[in-house]
Amino acid sequence: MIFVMRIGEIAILGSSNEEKRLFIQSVCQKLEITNDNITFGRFPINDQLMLHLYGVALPSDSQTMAWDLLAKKCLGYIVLFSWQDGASFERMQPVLDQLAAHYEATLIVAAHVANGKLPIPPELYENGIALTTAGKFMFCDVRQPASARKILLALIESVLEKMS
Amino acid sequence: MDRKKILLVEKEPSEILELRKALVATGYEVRIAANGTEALALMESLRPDLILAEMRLSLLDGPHLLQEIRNLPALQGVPFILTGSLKTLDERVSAMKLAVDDYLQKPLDPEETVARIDSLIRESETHAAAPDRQTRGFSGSLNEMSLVDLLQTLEVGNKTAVIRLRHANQEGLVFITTGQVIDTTLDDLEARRALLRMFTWTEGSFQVEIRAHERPRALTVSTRDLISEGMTRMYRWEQLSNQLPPLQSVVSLNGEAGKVKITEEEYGLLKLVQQTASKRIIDLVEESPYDDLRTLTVIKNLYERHVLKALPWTDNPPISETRPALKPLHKNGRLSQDLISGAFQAVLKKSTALTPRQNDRRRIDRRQDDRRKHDRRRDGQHGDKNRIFLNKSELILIREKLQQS
Repeated sequence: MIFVMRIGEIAILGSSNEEKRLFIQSVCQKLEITNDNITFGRFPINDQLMLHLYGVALPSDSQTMAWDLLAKKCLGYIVLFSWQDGASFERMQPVLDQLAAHYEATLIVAAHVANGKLPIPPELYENGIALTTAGKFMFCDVRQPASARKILLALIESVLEKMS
Repeated sequence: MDRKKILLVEKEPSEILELRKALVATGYEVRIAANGTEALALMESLRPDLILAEMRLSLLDGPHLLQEIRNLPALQGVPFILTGSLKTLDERVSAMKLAVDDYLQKPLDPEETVARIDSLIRESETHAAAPDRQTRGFSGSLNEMSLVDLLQTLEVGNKTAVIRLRHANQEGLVFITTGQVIDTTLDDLEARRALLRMFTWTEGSFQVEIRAHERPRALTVSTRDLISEGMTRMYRWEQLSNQLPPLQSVVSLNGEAGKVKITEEEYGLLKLVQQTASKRIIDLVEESPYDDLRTLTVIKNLYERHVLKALPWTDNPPISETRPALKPLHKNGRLSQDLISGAFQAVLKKSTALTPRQNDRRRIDRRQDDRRKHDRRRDGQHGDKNRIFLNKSELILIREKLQQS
C-alpha cells in the first residue's frame, strides 16, 4: 500500500507579479511562497491529488532551459495580462511566440479586467474564445476566486480535449 | 506447500463463478463472502492472503471493509483489490482516496484478474521476506520527480521515510519523521547544506523507503520552509546554469585573468581552479567553502568577465595545450605572477596530464552531456510535447472539483 501524492503543475505567466499573485491566491486561498521570482500555491483536489500553481518571472532569452524544465512538468500555461493596460499584452507577446514556436503548450490567455468592467457581453466569451488549437482567450478578474477558477477549469478542459 | 487463500467478497456470487474456477485451477484456495460483515467475520479464522471485494456491498461496503481490515494489525499488509463499475464520480473519488492495491473494472476478466492476483501475492511475499517487513516505497528519476516534489508528497502524507538520492557518483540520504525533514547525509556536509545541495539535483534517481528509523533530529527548520527555500533555489540554480556552459565543463583561467579586479570570494575560487588541472564547474561548486548558489553566481561573474573560460567538449584537448600561462593570485584582489610559489607550480605541472581514469570520466561526462543536449533539443526545439503526468480520470476529478468550487 503506497501513498503517493499525484500533482498537476500549472505555470502562470504574466508581466505583473501582483496579478499572478492575486490569481494564485484567489484559486488557492493562501500562498505558500511569494517573491520576485516565483509565487506558489497549492489547490488540493483530494487526499492524493493536488494542483500546484507556479507564477514565474518572464523568461529572458538566456532562460530557455528554465522553460524546458517547466514545459516538461506542466499541464499547461495561463498567460495573464491586464485588459486596461495595452503595454502589458505587448510584453506578453514574446512569451506567446515562445510558447507557440517551441512547445505544444495547452494555454489560456486571460485578460484581467479589474472591478468586473467587462468590455463585451458575458455571453460572448462565457466559454472562451478559441485562439488556435492551442488554447482559448478569456476574461477574468484575478481578485475573484470564481473567475480565476474558471480560467483554470478552461485549461483543464483544453487538456482533456487534447487527450481525447 | 500451503495453498494461498483468496477471499472473494461479492453480493452476486454467480458473477464470480468463472473467476473462482480460474483461481482454483491456478492452485489457490478460494472462499466467498456475500457481504462485508460476513467477510469481516471470516477474517480471523481464514487469514486470507488476498482480498478481492466489490465496491457496493450490503451491510458493509468494500471501502468500509477495507478500513476495518486495515485496523486489524494482523491483516494490515494483506493485498486488497476493489472491483466496481465506477460509473459515478463518488465511486471514482472513493477509489482514489482509498489507496487500494488495485482497482478492477467490472465485468471481471478471469484471466486478467488471476494475473493481477498472482502479481500482488508475489509482491506481498517479497515484502514479507524482506528484513524489514514494514518497508514500502517507490522509486524513480529526479528528472521527473524532484526532491521538492518528494518532500511535498511525504509532508502532506505525514510519512516517516528515508529518501535515497543518487546523482553522478554521489549518494545522499534524507531522513523524514512524520513529514518533517530531520536530518540528511551527503559526503561530510552539514545537514542543511547537504539538503540544499540535493535540491539542485535534476538528474539522477531516487528511492523512497516508507519505514521507521531512529535518526535523531539535526534540522530544526520546518519542512515547509525548507521546501520554499528549495524551490527558490532550484529556480535560481536553473537560471544561473543557463548562463554558463554545461556544469560538467572543465574551466581554466583565461587571458583576462590578470587584468581585472577580483573580490575575496573570487580569489578563493580561482585558487581552487589553479589547484587541479581538470576542474569542472560542478567540482568547483562541490569544493567551494561558499554556499552552492553563491559559488555558481561567482563563477558566472568570472565567466562573464572572461576571467574563467570553459574548455570545449568537442575538442577535448589536453589541458596542458590549452591552459594559459598560470597567473598566481594576489590577495589584494589582483593576479600577480611573482607571488606564485615554486612548490605550487610543481604541483600544477604534475597535474596537467590526465590519467586514463580521468580521461574515462571525461568521456562518460561528455556522453551524458551530449545526451542531455540531445534531449533538450528534442524537447525544446521540436515541440515539447508537454508531458502530461496526470491521467484522464485525475483530470476529470480536477474538473469536477473546479466546477463545484
